[in-house]
Amino acid sequence: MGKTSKDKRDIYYRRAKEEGWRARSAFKLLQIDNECHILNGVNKAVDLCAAPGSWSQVLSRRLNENYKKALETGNATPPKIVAVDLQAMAPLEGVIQIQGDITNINTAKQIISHFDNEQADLVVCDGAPDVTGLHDMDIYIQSQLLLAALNITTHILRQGGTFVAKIFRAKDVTLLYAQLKIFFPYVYCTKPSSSRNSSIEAFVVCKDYSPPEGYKPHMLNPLLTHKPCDFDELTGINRVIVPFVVCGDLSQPDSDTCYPLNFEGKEYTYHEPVQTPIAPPYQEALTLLENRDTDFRRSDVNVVVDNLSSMTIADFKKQAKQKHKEITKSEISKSQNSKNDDSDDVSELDQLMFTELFDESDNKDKTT
Amino acid sequence: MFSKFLCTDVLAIRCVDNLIFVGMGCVLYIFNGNTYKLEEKINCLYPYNIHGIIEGPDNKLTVFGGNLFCTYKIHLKQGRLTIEENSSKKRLNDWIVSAKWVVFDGYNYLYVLLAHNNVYIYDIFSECYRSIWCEEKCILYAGSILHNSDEDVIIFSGTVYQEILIWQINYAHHGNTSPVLHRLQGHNGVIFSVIYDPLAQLICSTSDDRTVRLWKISNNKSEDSDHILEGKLEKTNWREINIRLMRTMFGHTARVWKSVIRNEILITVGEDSLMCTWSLDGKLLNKVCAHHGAAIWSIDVSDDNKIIFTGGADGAVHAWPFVNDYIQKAILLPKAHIHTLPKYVCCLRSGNFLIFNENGTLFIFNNCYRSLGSLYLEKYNTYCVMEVSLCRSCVCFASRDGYISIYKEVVPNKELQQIIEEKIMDSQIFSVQWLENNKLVICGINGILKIISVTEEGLIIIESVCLLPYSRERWLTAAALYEGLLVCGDRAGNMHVFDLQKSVSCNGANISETNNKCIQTFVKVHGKIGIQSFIVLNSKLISAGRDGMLKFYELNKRENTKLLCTLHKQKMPMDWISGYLKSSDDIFVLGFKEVEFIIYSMFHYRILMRVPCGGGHRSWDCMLQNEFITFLYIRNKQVYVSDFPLSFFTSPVLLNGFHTKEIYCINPISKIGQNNIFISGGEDSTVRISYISSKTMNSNFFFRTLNIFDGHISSIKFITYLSLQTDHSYNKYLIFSGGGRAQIKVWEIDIIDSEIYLQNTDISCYDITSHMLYGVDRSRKKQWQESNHFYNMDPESRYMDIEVYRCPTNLQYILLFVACADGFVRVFLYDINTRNISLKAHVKCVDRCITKITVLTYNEKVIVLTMSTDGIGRFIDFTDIISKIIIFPQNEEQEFHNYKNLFIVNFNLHQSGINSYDIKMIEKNEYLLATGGDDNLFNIICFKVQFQSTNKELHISLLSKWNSCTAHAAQITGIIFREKNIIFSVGVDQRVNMYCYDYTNGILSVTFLKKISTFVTDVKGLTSWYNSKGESVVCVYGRGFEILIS
Repeated sequence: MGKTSKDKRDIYYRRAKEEGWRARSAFKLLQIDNECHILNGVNKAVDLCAAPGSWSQVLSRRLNENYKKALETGNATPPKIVAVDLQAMAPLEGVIQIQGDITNINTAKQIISHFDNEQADLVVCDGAPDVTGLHDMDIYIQSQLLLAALNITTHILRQGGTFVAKIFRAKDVTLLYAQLKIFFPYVYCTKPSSSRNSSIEAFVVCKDYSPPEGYKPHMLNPLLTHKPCDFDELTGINRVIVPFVVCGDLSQPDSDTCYPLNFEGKEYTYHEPVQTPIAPPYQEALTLLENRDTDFRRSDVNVVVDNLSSMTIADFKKQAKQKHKEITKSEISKSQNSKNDDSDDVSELDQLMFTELFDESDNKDKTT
Repeated sequence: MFSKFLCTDVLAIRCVDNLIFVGMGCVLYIFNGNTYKLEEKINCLYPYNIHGIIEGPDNKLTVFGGNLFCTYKIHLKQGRLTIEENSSKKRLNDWIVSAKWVVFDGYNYLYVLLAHNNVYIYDIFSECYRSIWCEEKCILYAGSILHNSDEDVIIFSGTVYQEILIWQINYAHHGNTSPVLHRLQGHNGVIFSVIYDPLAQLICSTSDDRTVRLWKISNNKSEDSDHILEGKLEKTNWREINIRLMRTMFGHTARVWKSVIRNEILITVGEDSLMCTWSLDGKLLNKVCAHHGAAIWSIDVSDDNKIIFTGGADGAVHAWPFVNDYIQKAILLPKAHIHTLPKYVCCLRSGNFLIFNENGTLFIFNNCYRSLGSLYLEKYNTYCVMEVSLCRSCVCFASRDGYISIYKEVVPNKELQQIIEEKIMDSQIFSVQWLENNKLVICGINGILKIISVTEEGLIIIESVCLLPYSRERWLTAAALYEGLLVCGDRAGNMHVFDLQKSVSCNGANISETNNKCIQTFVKVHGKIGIQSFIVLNSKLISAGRDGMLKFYELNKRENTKLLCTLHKQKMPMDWISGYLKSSDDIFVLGFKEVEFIIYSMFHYRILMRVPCGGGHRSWDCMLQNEFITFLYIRNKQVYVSDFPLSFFTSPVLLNGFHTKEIYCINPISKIGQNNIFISGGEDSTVRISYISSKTMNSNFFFRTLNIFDGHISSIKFITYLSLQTDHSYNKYLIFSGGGRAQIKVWEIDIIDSEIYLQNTDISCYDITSHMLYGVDRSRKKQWQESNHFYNMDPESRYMDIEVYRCPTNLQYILLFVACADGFVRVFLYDINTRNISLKAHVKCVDRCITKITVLTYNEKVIVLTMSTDGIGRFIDFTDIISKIIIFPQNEEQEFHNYKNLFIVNFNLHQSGINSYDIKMIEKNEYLLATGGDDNLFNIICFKVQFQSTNKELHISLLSKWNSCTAHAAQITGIIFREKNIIFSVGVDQRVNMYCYDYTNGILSVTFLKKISTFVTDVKGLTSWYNSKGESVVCVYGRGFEILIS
C-alpha cells in the first residue's frame, strides 16, 4: 500500500491535512455548526477531552470570526477557549490548556477562573474510550464518559448554554437521552456527513441549559446514578424520542465514498499529517518488533525483562544483540570446523527467494 | 420470538468440579467435563451478556454481566444435573467488574466490584447490602477480589489510568470509604486484567501495552524469610508488604485480555488470538494461535489442571492439553563416524532410524538412539537417491548408473536385508517415488519414467513406462496414483497426468517407446519450482508446493472424460510445503517457514507444532506411529529427533466457531436432509460453507463449517448465487462474491447429497476466476516503483452490493450489477460457457457511495434501483446498456457519465445512508420496498411501474408510504419480508422487530407485533430460511449470528 491509500479511502482525512486540521474530526464540529448553529454568539467555550485538539482549532477559528464581526458593530470582548485533557497536547494559539481530569471539581474551578468566574456559553466533548471490541462494555464506558462530561458541564455552563458530545448510538442509548433531557429541553442526535455511515458514533446537541429547579451541581458521585431501568419502559410508548438530524448537505463530500485524488479538479499533492499521532500505549512493544533479536513474534526469541534486577528494556535489547552475536560466531566457527556445510546457508538463500515470491500474499490487506 | 441458536463472543468460562460453564450472550451452557457434551442451556441475564461466572458455597453458581447478577444451585448427582434458581436476578446501578463469594462467621456474602471502584456487599441471608468506596474514584476495566483472612478482603483494581490499585475492606470496620494500600505503576496502557495467585505470591496484570507483568509481594519486616510458611499464606498483611515489579513479558502482538496461573505456569490470552504459556521464571514455553485470528476473551483451567478451555470472538470454545514441557528438546544422536557427515535420514515403521552418510554407510539406530549396526553400500557412496516406502518398512536407493536397491527391515532391531538390486535405467536415476507399498516410479534421463512393482519373491516387474513432456528440467519431484491415473510433478513446476489403464503391461528392462501419453498438463502449478507432494483425500487430489499453497483437483467423471479439474486452493501458513501425514481423522500438512518446521492440521485449520530446525533444504523425515509424531532432521551436520505425543495436538471443540470478524453476508443455498446449508463472507475475507442441523441436542442446534475458501484479498461485502442444477443427489451453484479492493470472484460449488451426515468432502468448490478493477498488486507495484512521485489518481473503490440478472434471451450470459463506493454501477458479463468475467460498463449514478442495488424488469425493460448514502433511491433504465452488451459481448468496457435521460425517478427515502432493504412484488408491476436507514427510519413504500400511455416512456409512481422513526434507536441494518404480511427489521441497537403490514384501498399501514434483543453486535443484516421442520427461521448476522424463531 502506498502512502496515498489512506488519502483515497477517506476524503476528510485528506482534506484535514490540506486545510491544516489536527484531525478529520474538525469537520464534524463544522458540519454540526452549519446545521445547528451552535457557535453563533459564543464567546466562551470549553473543549473537554480535547487532544489532539482539532475541535479547539475549530472553536478558535470560529470564535475569532464571531469576535471580528462583533467588533464591526460595536464593543466586544475577545473570545476565550479552554481545552481540557488528561494528556498533554501541543499548544494552540488562543487556546488555554488545562491538563486535568474532568471528574475532578478542581478542574471545573480552574476552568471558571479562566473565564473570570463567569460560566461558559458552550461545552463540547469529543472524547471516546479506546474501544475494546466488547460492545456492551465500550458503550457503557462511553456513556460514563458522557455523563462525566455532563456532570462537569453542570458546574461550568451558563443557563441557556449549549452542550455537544459524542455518543454511541447503540443498545440503551435512550437511557442517555432521558438523562440529558433532564437538563436540556432541546436534545438532538446529529450525524455529520464526515462521520462514516457504518460508524455507531453520533453527536448529541443539547440546547438551552436549564437544570431542574433546586439542582445543585456536585462532584461527590461522578455519575448520575443509573436508576434500575426497565427495558420495556425504555422501548415502549413512553420512551424518550430524540430527533435525528443529519448535518452536512449534499454539497459536502461523503466519508463512505471513494474519491479520486484529483477530486473536484484540484491537483493533488501529498501532505504530511498536521500532527504525528501521540505515542500509543504499545510503543515499546513496537520498537522491540523492529529488531530481529527482540522480535518476539519469532519462535526463537523470548522477550522477558527481569525487573527485579532493575533491568530496563534498553538493557534487554543490548543483551539480546550481544547474545545473537555470540550465537552467530559459534555457528561460524562450527561450520569452519566441518567442510561442505551447505544445509543452513542454502536454506537462508531459499528464504530470501521466498520472501520475494510471497511478498504479495503476506501483504494481504483488509483495511479497505 | 425466541432465540434458537447463537454464535458470538464467548466472554466467560468456568470449570467447577466436573462441569464446564460457558457464557455466550445471556445463555449459560453447561458441559460435562469428561465427555464435553452439552448437558444444559439456561437463559440467565437476558438481555445482557454474561461476563463472569463464579462458584460459591453450597453448590452455588453466580453469573454476572452488565449490572445484573443471578445465582443458581447446581448439583450433579449420578450423572443427573439439577439446576434451581437460588435468587432472582438482581440489578445494581453500575457495571459489574468482578465478584466473589466470601464466608464470614458462617454467613455468605457476595462481594461485587463495580466499575467506579466501589464494592457492593450483598448479604444473601438478610438480602440487604452495603456499599464501600475506594477513596480513589476512577473507572475500572478490570479487577479481582481476594478473601485474605477472616475479616479482610483485598481488592485489586485495574484502572484506565495505567495503574493497579490495591485496597482493603475490613468486614468489622464500618466506614464507607477505604484507602489505597498500594499503587502498582509501570504499565503504559489500560489494565485489562489483574489476578493474584496466593501460592506463587504473585500478582499478574495484563494490559493494552501488550505486556504481561508479574509483581512479587514480599514481607517488609523479615527480608530473609521471603518464603512464608504455607499455612500462613492467606494471612498476608497487605498493609505491611512490599510489592515490586518482577518481570515484564512480551509475547502478544495485540492487547492482552486475561491470564491464569496454575501449577507454576502462567497462561495469557489476547486480542491476537494467541494463547501464551509461560513459566513463572519468565520463559515463553508455547504460543498457540487458538482461535484462528479471533480475539480470545475467556480462559479457565480444569480443576485437575489437565485441560485449558478458551472462548473466543469466533464463538468457539476449545479444550487444550495443559502441558508444561510442550517444546521437546531435540536429541543429539551419537556420532558414529566423527569425520563423516550424515546425508539422508528416515524413520522406519519399527521406530528405528536410518542415517546414510556421505561415505555410503547406512546406520540403523533404535528409538533409544543406540546403534544397531551399519551397512556399507559401495554402489551408492558417491551419488545416491534414498526414499523410504509408504509403509516405512523398505528403503530404496538409486544410483548414478541406473541401479536400484531395496532394503527391508525383516527382523526388528536388526540390520536391514537387501531384497533387490537391479539395473533399471540406462542412465543416472534422478528421482524415485513410492506410489504404493510395493510400487515405485523411477525417473531417468530425458524424462523417462518407469513404474515398477516388486513381488513377494523379490522380482521387479516393469509395469509401464511414461515419458515426461519436454521441459527445462525434465525430472520428477513428486508422483501419486489417483483414480487410476499417474500424476507427476516435474522440476520445472508442471503437473502431468498419465492414464495408466490404457497401457499394455510390458516386460523386459529396456523399453524406450511408450504408449502412455500424457493426457493433461498443468503449467507451473506452484510457481517455477517442482511440486513437493501429492495427497489423495477421498475423491480429491491435492498438490502442494513451495508457494505455500495446497491446490485441490477432482476427476470429472460426469462427462465421460477422464480429466482433472482444478478446484480451489488453500494458503498454508508456511513457505514450503513438503509432505503430509494421515491420521484416522485428520491430515497433517508438513512444511517449513523461515527457520521452522511446521505441522498444520487441515481439519482444525491451525498450526499444531513449530520446531526451530533451521529451515528447509535438509534431509528430514516425519512419521506418525503409535500416537506419536516423530520428526527427524539434520542440522549443522548432526541428526536430531523430536517426539510429540499426538495427545499434545488434540484440541476437542465444545462449541464450533465461525468467522473471526464481522459477517457481512449469509445466504442460505440449500437444504439437504435435516441440514440447512449456507454460504457466508465477511471482514476476515474468507468464504465459508456451513450447515446447521435442525436435529437438536439438548435444545441446541448442531452447527459446523464444512469448508473455508480464501482468495479474497480484502473483506467480502456480498455473496450471491445462482442455481445451475439441482437434482436429488447433486446440486450445482454459481457463486459471486465481492467487496473490498474492488475485487469480485466467481466460484462454482457442487454439493453431493450424501445420506444424512454431511462431510467436507461432499463439497467441491471451483475457484473459477477473480477480477480486480485496478489489476492485481503485482502490476501496480511496478508502476509505483518506476517513479516515486507517481500517484495513481484512481480511488480505491469498494464493491458494496450485487444483483445478478440472467439474460432471458441468452441463458449463457449472466449480468452482474455491482454497486460501488465511488458512486458507479459497474456491469460485468459472465459467460457460463467460457467461464470468463469481463467488465462491460461503468455508469456514474451519484456522487455518493452506493450501498444497495436491485434490479426490476418490466416488459423488456431492465430497471436498476440504487440506494446510496444520500438516502435516495434512484430508478435507472439500463435496458439499452444491457442490450448492447448482449449483442456485442466482445466490445470493450464503456464508461457512461451524466446519462441523465436514463434516470426514471428518484425517491427521497432517508436523511442519510440506506443500509438495508427488501423488495416484494405484491401485484403485477406493483412493489413494496422496505428500507432501513442510518437515520433510524424504517420506511416502506408501495410503487408501481408502468408505461406512460402517450409516449411509451417508463413511469414509476409512488402509491403509498409509511414510516416510523421510533422502531429503532440506531441504524437499521437489516430488513426482510417473510410469508404472509410479516416484516422483520434489525438495527445496531440489537433489536429485532416483527411487524405486519396491510395494504388495502391504496393505503399502506404497518403494525408492530413483537420484538427481541439479539446478542449479535455490529449487526450487518438479516436472512431467513425454512428448516427441515418447515419452521420459518430468521437469522441475524454481524459479529456472530443468531437464529430466531417467531
